[in-house]
Amino acid sequence: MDLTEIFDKKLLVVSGKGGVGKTTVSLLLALLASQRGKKTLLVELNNTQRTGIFFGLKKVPYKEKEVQKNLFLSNIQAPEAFEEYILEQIHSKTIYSLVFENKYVRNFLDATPGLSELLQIGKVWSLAERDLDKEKNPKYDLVILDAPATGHGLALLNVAQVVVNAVKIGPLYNQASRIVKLLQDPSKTQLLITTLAEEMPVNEALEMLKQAKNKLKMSCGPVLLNGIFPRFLSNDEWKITEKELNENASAEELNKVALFYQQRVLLQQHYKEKLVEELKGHPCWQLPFLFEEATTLKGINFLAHYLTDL
Amino acid sequence: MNLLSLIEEKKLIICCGSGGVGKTTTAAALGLKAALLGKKVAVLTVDPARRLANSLGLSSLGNEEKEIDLSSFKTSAKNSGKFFAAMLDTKRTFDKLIERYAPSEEAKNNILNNVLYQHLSSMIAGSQEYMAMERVYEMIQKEKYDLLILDTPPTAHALDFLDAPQKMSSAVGDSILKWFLKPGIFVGKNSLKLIEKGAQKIFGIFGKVLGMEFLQDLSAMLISTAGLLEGFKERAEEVSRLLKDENTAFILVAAPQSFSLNEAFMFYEKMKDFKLPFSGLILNRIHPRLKKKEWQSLSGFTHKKKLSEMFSAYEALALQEAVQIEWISKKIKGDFLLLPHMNSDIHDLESLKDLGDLLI
Repeated sequence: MDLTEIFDKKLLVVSGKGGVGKTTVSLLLALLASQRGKKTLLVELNNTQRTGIFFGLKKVPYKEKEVQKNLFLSNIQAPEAFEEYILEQIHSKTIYSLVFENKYVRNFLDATPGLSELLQIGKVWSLAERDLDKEKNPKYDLVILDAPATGHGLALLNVAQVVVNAVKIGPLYNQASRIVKLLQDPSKTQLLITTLAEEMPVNEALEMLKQAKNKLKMSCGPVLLNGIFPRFLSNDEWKITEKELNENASAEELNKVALFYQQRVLLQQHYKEKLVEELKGHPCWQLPFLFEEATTLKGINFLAHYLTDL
Repeated sequence: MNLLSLIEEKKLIICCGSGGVGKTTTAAALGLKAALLGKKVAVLTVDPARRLANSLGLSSLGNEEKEIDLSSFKTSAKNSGKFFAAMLDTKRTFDKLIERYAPSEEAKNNILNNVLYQHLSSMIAGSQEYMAMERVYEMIQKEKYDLLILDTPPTAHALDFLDAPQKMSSAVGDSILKWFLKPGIFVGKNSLKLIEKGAQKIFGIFGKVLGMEFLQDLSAMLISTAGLLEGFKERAEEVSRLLKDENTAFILVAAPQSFSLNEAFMFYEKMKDFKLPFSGLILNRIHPRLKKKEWQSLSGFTHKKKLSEMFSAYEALALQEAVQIEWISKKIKGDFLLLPHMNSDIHDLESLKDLGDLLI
C-alpha cells in the first residue's frame, strides 16, 4: 500500500454507491494527508453539510475554512460558484446584480440542465489547479472531493466532456476543456471508488470502474472496501460456540445475535472475494466497520490504523 | 405505518431517502406485495445506477415497463395482479416527448438533429429530475395501472425532483427564454438586435461569458423547440398537482445513522413547505439492542472472551442506532415502521416477497 503516491496527486475524487462511506473515506484521507504536511482541502457539494460536524463546525462555508493544521473545508454550491465565476469575467458587482439577480435570468439558469454540475466541477478545478498559474505557490497541495453517489457522480465528472463536445468554440469551450484536461490527467487526478462488501455496492463499484476507464477516461486509484466486520471467532471456534449457545436455553437472544454476526462476517467474506477476483489485480484497500464513534474524529483516526492492503 | 391501506388506496407512492438505505428494494417489495394482492402495479426507478433490475433478478431494465412473471407465486388463477418494472432512460423519454409534441415532422427532425440538443438530452445531469416527472405523468396517464411506485434518486437530488415542475414552469413562463425565441435576434456574427434595452445588455454579458457562437446555437435549438415549450409548461403544472394529489403518498426511507436521518429530516421539512402528502418513515437496517445483560457474563462458554467482544461490538452499534432513532422520533411527526437489518441480500423475487410480507 502506498499512500504517498496518492497524496502526490492534485485532486482525489471519492465516489461509490450511496451509504458506503464516501464521506468517511474522504475525511480519513484528508486527515492523513494533512498530518503528513500536505496542505489539504476537503470539498463537499450540494450543501450536504456532512464534514463540518467532525470539527465542531455547524456550517461549512463556501470560502475554504481551516479547521486544523493544514486541513481546510469548503462546501461548494452552484449559486455562489456562479457569482464568483461571472464576477471574474465582468468585474462589476453592479452589472452582475442587474443582469443575473433578476427573476427572469434566475428562472432560466435554474432550469438549465447540467449547469449546476458544471459550475461545481469548475470551482473544484479552480481550487485544485488554477492558482498554479496565478501565484508562485499553489494554494493547496491536495484537493479531496467527496463526490455524489455513483450515478450523479458520473454525471458530475462527465459534464465538462459533454460541453466540450457540444460547444466546440468560445470561452465556455475553453473552460470546459481545462476541466476535462485536469480530470483525465493521471498524474494529477485519481478517482477513488468506495464500496461495502455487499452485493449491490460491489456491482456498482465494478460498473463505475468500467465507466471511469471507458467513458470518463479517468485514472482510478485503489478501490476502498469499507465497513468490514472484524472476525472474532474462527470457523472451529464458532462451531463450539454455536453448540454451546444452542444448549443454553436462556441464551435464545444471544444465539440469534451471534448467528447474525457470524453470518454477516461470512457474507462479507463472500463479496470481498468476489470483488478482489473481479478487480483482476487492480488494488483494493480495506477498512474496518466502526461500531462506535462513527461520526467523530476519534473514530476516523481509529480507522487510519487499520487501513490495509488486500 | 399502515402500508396496506396505502397500497389499497393510493395511485402513486413515492419513496425518498438518502442512498444505500434500501429505498429501491423497499419500493420493489411494496410493488410485488400489491401485485400479489391483485393490483396492477408498476415500479419506476430513476436512479441511474441499475439497482432495481438487481433486486428483481433481471439482468437489465429499460425505459419501457417490463412485466415480471409472477406465476410461481400465484396459488389461485383468480388473482389478476400484474407486476411491471421500468428504469428511467432520460434521453429516450425526452425524445419521445418531442416526438409527441412537435408541431410538424420537420420541426421534430430539426430538434432531434440539433447538435446541442443531442448533447444536452443525453446528459443525465439535471434533466433526470424533469424526465422522471414526465415519465411518471405518462405512466399515470395511460391508466393502465392501479398503482405506480416511484423510487427517487438519493435525497439531495430528490429535492430537485420536488422542485422540477416549478422550475420548468417558471423557466418557460417567466424567464429570458422568451427572448431566445425571437427569430433574427442575432444579426451577423457578433451582434444582437433586441427591442428591449435590458435584454440587449443581458445578452451582451451572456455573449461575453459564454461566447456568442454558443448563444446562437442555443437560440437555434430553443427556436426549434418553441412549439413544445408551452406543452412542457402545462405538463409541469399538471405534475405539480399530481404530487399534491390526495391519491399520492410520500414515504421516507432511512437507515438509523446520523447522515441518513439528517437528510430524512431535511426532506421532511421540505415536504411540509411544499405541502406534499407525507405518509411516514421506514427505518431500515436496524440492529435491535440486546435486552438481557447476560452477554457481559458468559461463564460456561469455551471462547467466552472472544464471544463477549463480539457482543460488545454489536451492542455498541445497537446503542448508537437507538440514540439516533430516539432523535428522529422527536423530529418527525408521523408514522414509523422499524425494520431489522437482514443478512441475506435481496436479489430475487422470493426474498423480495418475504420483505413485502414483513412490511405489511
